[in-house]
Amino acid sequence: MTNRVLLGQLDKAIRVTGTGIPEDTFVRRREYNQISSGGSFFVTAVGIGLTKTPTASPSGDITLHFPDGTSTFVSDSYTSSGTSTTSTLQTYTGGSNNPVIFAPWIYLTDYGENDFQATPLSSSDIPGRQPYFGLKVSKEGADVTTCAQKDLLFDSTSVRTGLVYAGAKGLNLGDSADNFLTTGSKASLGYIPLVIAVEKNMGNRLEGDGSEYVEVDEISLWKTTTSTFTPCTATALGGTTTYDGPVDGRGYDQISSTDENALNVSYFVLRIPCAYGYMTSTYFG
Amino acid sequence: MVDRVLLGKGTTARGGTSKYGLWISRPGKDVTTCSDDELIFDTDKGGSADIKGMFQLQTVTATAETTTTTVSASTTTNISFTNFNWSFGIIPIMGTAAPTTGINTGQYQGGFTINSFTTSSVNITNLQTTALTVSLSVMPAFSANARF
Repeated sequence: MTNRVLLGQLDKAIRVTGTGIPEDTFVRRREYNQISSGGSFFVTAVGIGLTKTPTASPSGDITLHFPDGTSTFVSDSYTSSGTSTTSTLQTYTGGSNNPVIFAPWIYLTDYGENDFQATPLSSSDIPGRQPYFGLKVSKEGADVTTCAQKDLLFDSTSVRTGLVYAGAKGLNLGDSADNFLTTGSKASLGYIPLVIAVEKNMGNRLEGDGSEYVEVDEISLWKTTTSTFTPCTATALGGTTTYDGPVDGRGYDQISSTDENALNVSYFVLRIPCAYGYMTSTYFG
Repeated sequence: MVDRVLLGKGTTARGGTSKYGLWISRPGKDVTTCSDDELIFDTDKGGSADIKGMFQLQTVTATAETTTTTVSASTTTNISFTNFNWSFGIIPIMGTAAPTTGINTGQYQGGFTINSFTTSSVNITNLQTTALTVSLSVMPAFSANARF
Protein backbone atom coordinates (compact mmCIF):
# COMPACT_ATOMS: atom_id res chain seq x y z
CA MET A 1 0.00 0.00 0.00
CA THR A 2 1.34 3.45 -0.89
CA ASN A 3 1.13 6.72 1.01
CA ARG A 4 -1.68 8.73 -0.58
CA VAL A 5 -2.33 11.67 1.76
CA LEU A 6 0.32 14.14 2.95
CA LEU A 7 -0.85 16.75 5.46
CA GLY A 8 1.55 19.21 7.07
CA GLN A 9 5.03 20.21 5.87
CA LEU A 10 5.24 19.34 2.19
CA ASP A 11 8.96 19.76 1.51
CA LYS A 12 11.89 18.47 3.41
CA ALA A 13 13.79 21.28 5.13
CA ILE A 14 16.56 21.81 7.66
CA ARG A 15 15.37 23.93 10.57
CA VAL A 16 17.77 26.29 12.36
CA THR A 17 17.35 27.26 16.02
CA GLY A 18 19.38 29.32 18.45
CA THR A 19 19.38 32.60 20.35
CA GLY A 20 18.53 35.43 17.95
CA ILE A 21 17.16 33.05 15.29
CA PRO A 22 13.44 33.64 14.56
CA GLU A 23 10.96 30.80 14.81
CA ASP A 24 10.53 28.74 11.62
CA THR A 25 13.91 29.63 10.14
CA PHE A 26 15.27 27.15 7.60
CA VAL A 27 18.39 26.61 5.51
CA ARG A 28 17.85 28.08 2.04
CA ARG A 29 21.39 27.48 0.73
CA ARG A 30 24.62 25.76 1.76
CA GLU A 31 28.22 25.97 0.54
CA TYR A 32 30.93 23.71 1.93
CA ASN A 33 34.49 24.79 2.55
CA GLN A 34 36.85 21.94 1.62
CA ILE A 35 40.54 21.11 1.49
CA SER A 36 42.29 18.64 -0.78
CA SER A 37 44.44 15.92 0.74
CA GLY A 38 45.82 12.84 -1.01
CA GLY A 39 43.58 13.39 -4.01
CA SER A 40 40.37 13.64 -1.98
CA PHE A 41 38.39 16.58 -0.69
CA PHE A 42 37.42 16.95 2.95
CA VAL A 43 34.86 19.31 4.42
CA THR A 44 36.28 21.79 6.93
CA ALA A 45 33.33 24.14 7.40
CA VAL A 46 29.94 25.03 5.93
CA GLY A 47 28.20 28.31 5.24
CA ILE A 48 24.40 28.33 5.34
CA GLY A 49 21.94 30.91 4.09
CA LEU A 50 18.87 31.42 6.30
CA THR A 51 15.26 32.05 5.30
CA LYS A 52 14.88 34.73 8.00
CA THR A 53 17.11 37.51 9.30
CA PRO A 54 18.09 37.09 12.98
CA THR A 55 16.42 39.47 15.39
CA ALA A 56 19.75 39.80 17.23
CA SER A 57 23.25 38.55 16.52
CA PRO A 58 23.13 34.79 17.16
CA SER A 59 24.83 33.68 20.34
CA GLY A 60 25.31 30.40 22.18
CA ASP A 61 24.65 27.10 20.41
CA ILE A 62 23.24 27.03 16.89
CA THR A 63 21.36 23.80 16.11
CA LEU A 64 20.49 22.33 12.73
CA HIS A 65 17.48 19.97 12.84
CA PHE A 66 17.43 17.52 9.92
CA PRO A 67 14.26 16.24 8.16
CA ASP A 68 14.45 12.75 9.64
CA GLY A 69 13.21 14.34 12.87
CA THR A 70 16.02 13.02 15.05
CA SER A 71 19.40 14.05 13.59
CA THR A 72 20.91 17.35 14.69
CA PHE A 73 24.18 19.21 14.42
CA VAL A 74 25.08 21.64 17.21
CA SER A 75 27.66 24.35 16.66
CA ASP A 76 29.28 26.68 19.16
CA SER A 77 31.96 27.96 16.78
CA TYR A 78 30.62 30.18 14.03
CA THR A 79 30.40 33.64 12.56
CA SER A 80 27.25 35.23 11.16
CA SER A 81 25.81 38.18 9.29
CA GLY A 82 24.12 39.18 12.56
CA THR A 83 21.18 41.43 11.84
CA SER A 84 22.70 42.75 8.62
CA THR A 85 20.71 42.42 5.42
CA THR A 86 23.62 43.28 3.12
CA SER A 87 26.55 41.26 4.45
CA THR A 88 27.98 38.55 2.15
CA LEU A 89 29.96 35.40 2.85
CA GLN A 90 32.52 33.75 0.58
CA THR A 91 33.13 30.33 2.04
CA TYR A 92 36.55 29.76 0.51
CA THR A 93 39.17 31.90 -1.15
CA GLY A 94 41.28 31.59 -4.26
CA GLY A 95 39.16 32.93 -7.08
CA SER A 96 36.68 35.65 -7.90
CA ASN A 97 34.07 33.15 -9.09
CA ASN A 98 33.70 31.33 -5.81
CA PRO A 99 30.10 31.20 -4.54
CA VAL A 100 28.85 33.97 -2.32
CA ILE A 101 26.04 33.63 0.21
CA PHE A 102 24.02 36.77 0.78
CA ALA A 103 22.69 37.72 4.21
CA PRO A 104 21.34 36.30 6.38
CA TRP A 105 24.02 33.62 6.78
CA ILE A 106 25.93 31.64 9.42
CA TYR A 107 29.37 30.15 8.86
CA LEU A 108 29.80 26.97 10.94
CA THR A 109 33.55 26.57 11.35
CA ASP A 110 33.29 23.42 13.48
CA TYR A 111 31.37 21.44 10.82
CA GLY A 112 34.03 18.98 9.58
CA GLU A 113 34.24 15.88 7.42
CA ASN A 114 32.91 13.57 10.13
CA ASP A 115 29.90 15.85 10.59
CA PHE A 116 29.39 15.88 6.82
CA GLN A 117 29.39 12.07 6.79
CA ALA A 118 26.90 11.88 9.68
CA THR A 119 24.60 14.80 8.87
CA PRO A 120 25.08 16.05 5.28
CA LEU A 121 23.12 19.11 4.21
CA SER A 122 21.60 17.42 1.16
CA SER A 123 20.38 19.72 -1.60
CA SER A 124 17.09 17.74 -1.67
CA ASP A 125 16.49 18.90 1.91
CA ILE A 126 16.91 22.57 1.00
CA PRO A 127 13.86 24.00 -0.82
CA GLY A 128 15.60 27.38 -1.27
CA ARG A 129 12.80 29.25 0.48
CA GLN A 130 10.38 28.83 3.34
CA PRO A 131 9.08 25.23 3.08
CA TYR A 132 5.45 24.76 2.16
CA PHE A 133 2.82 23.42 4.50
CA GLY A 134 -0.43 22.08 3.11
CA LEU A 135 -2.16 19.00 1.76
CA LYS A 136 -1.41 16.69 -1.13
CA VAL A 137 -3.45 13.67 -2.24
CA SER A 138 -2.10 11.28 -4.86
CA LYS A 139 -3.80 9.03 -7.37
CA GLU A 140 -4.24 5.37 -6.63
CA GLY A 141 -0.88 3.60 -6.77
CA ALA A 142 1.22 6.78 -6.57
CA ASP A 143 3.24 7.56 -3.43
CA VAL A 144 2.32 11.11 -2.44
CA THR A 145 5.73 11.70 -0.83
CA THR A 146 7.65 11.04 -4.04
CA CYS A 147 5.31 11.15 -7.04
CA ALA A 148 5.29 13.74 -9.81
CA GLN A 149 2.76 16.57 -9.73
CA LYS A 150 0.83 14.93 -12.60
CA ASP A 151 0.04 12.03 -10.27
CA LEU A 152 -1.69 14.21 -7.68
CA LEU A 153 -5.45 14.45 -7.25
CA PHE A 154 -5.12 17.53 -5.04
CA ASP A 155 -2.19 19.86 -4.44
CA SER A 156 -2.51 22.82 -2.08
CA THR A 157 0.41 24.60 -3.77
CA SER A 158 -2.05 25.37 -6.60
CA VAL A 159 -3.56 28.86 -6.61
CA ARG A 160 -6.87 27.73 -8.13
CA THR A 161 -8.73 24.43 -8.29
CA GLY A 162 -11.85 23.25 -10.06
CA LEU A 163 -14.43 24.17 -7.46
CA VAL A 164 -17.81 23.94 -9.16
CA TYR A 165 -19.82 27.05 -8.34
CA ALA A 166 -22.81 26.37 -10.57
CA GLY A 167 -23.88 24.27 -13.51
CA ALA A 168 -26.63 22.68 -15.53
CA LYS A 169 -27.52 19.45 -17.28
CA GLY A 170 -29.68 18.72 -20.31
CA LEU A 171 -30.87 22.25 -21.13
CA ASN A 172 -32.46 23.04 -24.51
CA LEU A 173 -31.47 26.69 -24.84
CA GLY A 174 -31.87 27.12 -28.60
CA ASP A 175 -30.45 30.61 -29.16
CA SER A 176 -31.02 31.88 -25.61
CA ALA A 177 -28.69 32.75 -22.76
CA ASP A 178 -28.76 30.93 -19.43
CA ASN A 179 -28.26 32.76 -16.13
CA PHE A 180 -26.09 30.51 -13.96
CA LEU A 181 -26.58 32.66 -10.83
CA THR A 182 -30.35 32.17 -10.69
CA THR A 183 -30.44 28.80 -8.94
CA GLY A 184 -29.80 29.34 -5.25
CA SER A 185 -29.61 33.12 -5.80
CA LYS A 186 -25.85 32.88 -6.11
CA ALA A 187 -23.76 36.01 -5.69
CA SER A 188 -21.72 37.17 -8.65
CA LEU A 189 -18.12 36.04 -8.34
CA GLY A 190 -16.96 39.50 -9.40
CA TYR A 191 -15.25 38.15 -12.50
CA ILE A 192 -16.07 36.15 -15.62
CA PRO A 193 -15.53 32.51 -14.63
CA LEU A 194 -14.23 29.54 -16.58
CA VAL A 195 -17.16 27.50 -17.93
CA ILE A 196 -16.74 24.02 -19.38
CA ALA A 197 -19.64 22.87 -21.55
CA VAL A 198 -20.84 20.06 -23.74
CA GLU A 199 -23.94 20.01 -25.98
CA LYS A 200 -25.54 17.96 -28.73
CA ASN A 201 -24.02 19.88 -31.66
CA MET A 202 -20.26 19.65 -31.50
CA GLY A 203 -17.36 20.17 -33.88
CA ASN A 204 -17.23 21.02 -37.56
CA ARG A 205 -20.23 21.94 -39.77
CA LEU A 206 -20.14 22.27 -43.57
CA GLU A 207 -23.54 23.00 -45.10
CA GLY A 208 -24.98 24.91 -48.03
CA ASP A 209 -28.09 25.66 -50.09
CA GLY A 210 -26.65 24.48 -53.41
CA SER A 211 -25.09 27.76 -54.43
CA GLU A 212 -23.48 28.98 -51.23
CA TYR A 213 -21.72 27.06 -48.48
CA VAL A 214 -20.49 27.88 -45.01
CA GLU A 215 -17.93 25.94 -42.96
CA VAL A 216 -17.55 26.42 -39.23
CA ASP A 217 -14.67 24.75 -37.41
CA GLU A 218 -16.53 24.60 -34.10
CA ILE A 219 -20.28 25.07 -33.90
CA SER A 220 -20.24 24.96 -30.08
CA LEU A 221 -19.25 28.60 -29.57
CA TRP A 222 -20.23 30.38 -26.33
CA LYS A 223 -20.03 33.79 -24.68
CA THR A 224 -19.60 34.04 -20.91
CA THR A 225 -20.33 37.04 -18.70
CA THR A 226 -20.30 37.33 -14.92
CA SER A 227 -23.81 35.88 -14.85
CA THR A 228 -24.77 34.37 -18.20
CA PHE A 229 -23.70 31.69 -20.68
CA THR A 230 -24.89 32.35 -24.24
CA PRO A 231 -24.64 30.33 -27.48
CA CYS A 232 -22.98 32.42 -30.20
CA THR A 233 -22.43 32.76 -33.92
CA ALA A 234 -18.94 33.48 -35.17
CA THR A 235 -18.63 36.47 -37.50
CA ALA A 236 -15.98 37.61 -39.95
CA LEU A 237 -14.66 41.13 -40.52
CA GLY A 238 -15.69 42.44 -43.91
CA GLY A 239 -14.30 45.59 -45.58
CA THR A 240 -13.61 48.44 -43.18
CA THR A 241 -16.49 47.62 -40.87
CA THR A 242 -15.67 47.69 -37.19
CA TYR A 243 -15.55 44.16 -35.85
CA ASP A 244 -18.10 43.64 -33.09
CA GLY A 245 -17.23 40.05 -32.20
CA PRO A 246 -19.50 36.99 -32.08
CA VAL A 247 -23.28 37.50 -32.24
CA ASP A 248 -25.58 36.12 -29.54
CA GLY A 249 -27.60 33.07 -30.61
CA ARG A 250 -26.78 30.62 -33.39
CA GLY A 251 -27.70 31.96 -36.82
CA TYR A 252 -25.49 30.70 -39.62
CA ASP A 253 -27.46 31.29 -42.86
CA GLN A 254 -26.71 27.95 -44.51
CA ILE A 255 -26.86 25.74 -41.40
CA SER A 256 -30.19 24.37 -40.21
CA SER A 257 -31.39 25.11 -36.69
CA THR A 258 -31.31 21.41 -35.89
CA ASP A 259 -27.62 21.29 -36.67
CA GLU A 260 -26.61 24.48 -34.87
CA ASN A 261 -28.93 25.22 -31.94
CA ALA A 262 -27.82 24.78 -28.34
CA LEU A 263 -29.57 21.52 -27.40
CA ASN A 264 -29.01 19.14 -24.49
CA VAL A 265 -26.53 21.57 -22.97
CA SER A 266 -24.57 20.69 -19.83
CA TYR A 267 -22.03 22.97 -18.26
CA PHE A 268 -19.90 23.55 -15.18
CA VAL A 269 -19.09 27.03 -13.86
CA LEU A 270 -15.74 26.84 -12.10
CA ARG A 271 -14.58 29.31 -9.46
CA ILE A 272 -11.64 30.27 -11.69
CA PRO A 273 -11.34 33.70 -13.38
CA CYS A 274 -11.08 33.44 -17.16
CA ALA A 275 -11.21 36.89 -18.74
CA TYR A 276 -8.95 39.74 -19.78
CA GLY A 277 -8.10 41.87 -16.76
CA TYR A 278 -8.68 39.08 -14.25
CA MET A 279 -5.76 36.80 -15.02
CA THR A 280 -3.66 38.75 -12.55
CA SER A 281 -1.97 38.24 -9.20
CA THR A 282 -5.04 39.74 -7.53
CA TYR A 283 -7.00 36.64 -8.49
CA PHE A 284 -4.17 34.13 -8.90
CA GLY A 285 -1.57 35.43 -6.43
CA MET B 1 3.73 32.30 7.38
CA VAL B 2 -0.06 32.17 7.15
CA ASP B 3 -2.41 29.36 8.15
CA ARG B 4 -3.33 27.45 4.98
CA VAL B 5 -5.14 24.32 6.16
CA LEU B 6 -8.08 24.33 8.58
CA LEU B 7 -9.30 20.90 9.64
CA GLY B 8 -12.05 20.65 12.23
CA LYS B 9 -14.04 23.55 13.68
CA GLY B 10 -14.80 26.46 11.36
CA THR B 11 -14.34 30.17 11.89
CA THR B 12 -16.67 33.10 11.27
CA ALA B 13 -15.38 33.37 7.71
CA ARG B 14 -15.93 29.66 7.20
CA GLY B 15 -19.56 29.70 8.29
CA GLY B 16 -19.18 29.81 12.07
CA THR B 17 -17.80 27.67 14.86
CA SER B 18 -20.72 25.25 14.60
CA LYS B 19 -19.36 24.11 11.21
CA TYR B 20 -16.78 21.35 10.94
CA GLY B 21 -14.84 20.41 7.85
CA LEU B 22 -11.69 20.93 5.82
CA TRP B 23 -10.75 24.22 4.18
CA ILE B 24 -7.56 25.08 2.29
CA SER B 25 -6.63 28.56 1.15
CA ARG B 26 -4.47 29.45 -1.81
CA PRO B 27 -0.80 30.28 -1.07
CA GLY B 28 -0.38 33.47 0.95
CA LYS B 29 -4.01 33.62 2.16
CA ASP B 30 -5.05 32.96 5.76
CA VAL B 31 -7.60 30.12 5.66
CA THR B 32 -9.29 31.33 8.86
CA THR B 33 -10.17 34.78 7.50
CA CYS B 34 -9.92 34.79 3.70
CA SER B 35 -12.87 35.07 1.32
CA ASP B 36 -14.53 31.98 -0.17
CA ASP B 37 -12.99 32.89 -3.53
CA GLU B 38 -9.54 32.54 -1.99
CA LEU B 39 -10.14 28.90 -1.04
CA ILE B 40 -8.85 26.06 -3.20
CA PHE B 41 -10.73 23.45 -1.16
CA ASP B 42 -14.01 24.38 0.43
CA THR B 43 -16.25 22.42 2.76
CA ASP B 44 -19.30 24.47 1.87
CA LYS B 45 -21.71 26.01 4.38
CA GLY B 46 -24.62 23.97 3.10
CA GLY B 47 -26.34 26.91 1.42
CA SER B 48 -27.93 26.75 -2.02
CA ALA B 49 -25.42 29.28 -3.31
CA ASP B 50 -22.36 27.35 -2.19
CA ILE B 51 -19.85 25.14 -3.97
CA LYS B 52 -21.37 22.01 -5.52
CA GLY B 53 -18.30 19.84 -5.84
CA MET B 54 -14.86 19.49 -7.34
CA PHE B 55 -14.27 19.29 -11.07
CA GLN B 56 -12.45 15.98 -11.02
CA LEU B 57 -12.75 13.45 -13.79
CA GLN B 58 -14.24 10.11 -12.91
CA THR B 59 -12.31 6.90 -13.46
CA VAL B 60 -14.34 4.52 -15.59
CA THR B 61 -13.57 1.46 -17.63
CA ALA B 62 -14.13 2.08 -21.33
CA THR B 63 -15.04 -0.58 -23.87
CA ALA B 64 -11.71 -0.24 -25.61
CA GLU B 65 -9.79 0.50 -22.41
CA THR B 66 -8.51 3.70 -24.02
CA THR B 67 -9.26 7.38 -23.74
CA THR B 68 -10.06 7.75 -27.43
CA THR B 69 -12.53 5.94 -29.61
CA THR B 70 -12.89 5.79 -33.39
CA VAL B 71 -16.38 6.16 -34.86
CA SER B 72 -16.91 5.06 -38.46
CA ALA B 73 -18.07 7.53 -41.15
CA SER B 74 -21.72 8.63 -40.96
CA THR B 75 -22.43 6.24 -38.12
CA THR B 76 -24.36 6.41 -34.86
CA THR B 77 -22.92 4.32 -32.05
CA ASN B 78 -22.68 3.88 -28.30
CA ILE B 79 -19.40 4.48 -26.51
CA SER B 80 -19.75 2.27 -23.48
CA PHE B 81 -18.07 2.29 -20.11
CA THR B 82 -18.54 0.63 -16.74
CA ASN B 83 -17.78 1.21 -13.06
CA PHE B 84 -19.86 4.32 -12.74
CA ASN B 85 -22.19 4.42 -9.75
CA TRP B 86 -23.17 8.08 -9.43
CA SER B 87 -26.94 8.25 -9.06
CA PHE B 88 -27.21 11.74 -10.58
CA GLY B 89 -25.71 10.44 -13.81
CA ILE B 90 -22.88 11.71 -15.93
CA ILE B 91 -21.88 14.60 -18.11
CA PRO B 92 -19.50 13.57 -20.92
CA ILE B 93 -16.73 15.94 -21.97
CA MET B 94 -15.86 15.13 -25.59
CA GLY B 95 -13.75 16.54 -28.35
CA THR B 96 -11.84 15.76 -31.50
CA ALA B 97 -8.24 16.26 -32.38
CA ALA B 98 -7.00 19.03 -34.67
CA PRO B 99 -4.35 18.32 -37.31
CA THR B 100 -0.83 19.41 -36.45
CA THR B 101 0.41 19.44 -40.04
CA GLY B 102 -0.94 20.49 -43.45
CA ILE B 103 -3.22 23.31 -44.54
CA ASN B 104 -5.82 22.46 -41.89
CA THR B 105 -3.39 22.71 -38.96
CA GLY B 106 -5.20 23.78 -35.81
CA GLN B 107 -8.68 23.39 -37.30
CA TYR B 108 -11.20 20.98 -35.87
CA GLN B 109 -11.92 18.29 -38.41
CA GLY B 110 -14.67 16.29 -36.79
CA GLY B 111 -18.35 17.11 -36.73
CA PHE B 112 -20.59 15.08 -34.47
CA THR B 113 -23.66 15.13 -32.27
CA ILE B 114 -23.96 13.82 -28.73
CA ASN B 115 -27.46 12.37 -28.85
CA SER B 116 -27.84 11.04 -25.33
CA PHE B 117 -25.90 9.64 -22.43
CA THR B 118 -26.50 7.32 -19.49
CA THR B 119 -24.35 6.05 -16.64
CA SER B 120 -22.94 3.39 -18.95
CA SER B 121 -22.71 4.91 -22.42
CA VAL B 122 -22.69 7.98 -24.66
CA ASN B 123 -24.59 7.80 -27.94
CA ILE B 124 -22.94 9.85 -30.67
CA THR B 125 -23.28 10.33 -34.43
CA ASN B 126 -20.33 11.01 -36.69
CA LEU B 127 -21.54 13.56 -39.26
CA GLN B 128 -18.44 13.27 -41.41
CA THR B 129 -17.81 10.99 -44.37
CA THR B 130 -14.57 9.87 -42.82
CA ALA B 131 -13.87 8.03 -39.57
CA LEU B 132 -13.74 10.22 -36.48
CA THR B 133 -11.54 9.85 -33.42
CA VAL B 134 -13.08 11.35 -30.31
CA SER B 135 -11.68 11.78 -26.82
CA LEU B 136 -14.00 11.16 -23.90
CA SER B 137 -13.91 12.09 -20.25
CA VAL B 138 -16.73 11.55 -17.80
CA MET B 139 -17.81 13.94 -15.08
CA PRO B 140 -20.38 13.11 -12.44
CA ALA B 141 -23.49 15.29 -12.45
CA PHE B 142 -23.94 17.02 -9.10
CA SER B 143 -27.70 17.20 -8.90
CA ALA B 144 -30.87 15.64 -10.16
CA ASN B 145 -32.06 19.15 -11.03
CA ALA B 146 -31.51 20.77 -14.43
CA ARG B 147 -29.50 23.54 -12.74
CA PHE B 148 -27.41 23.43 -9.60
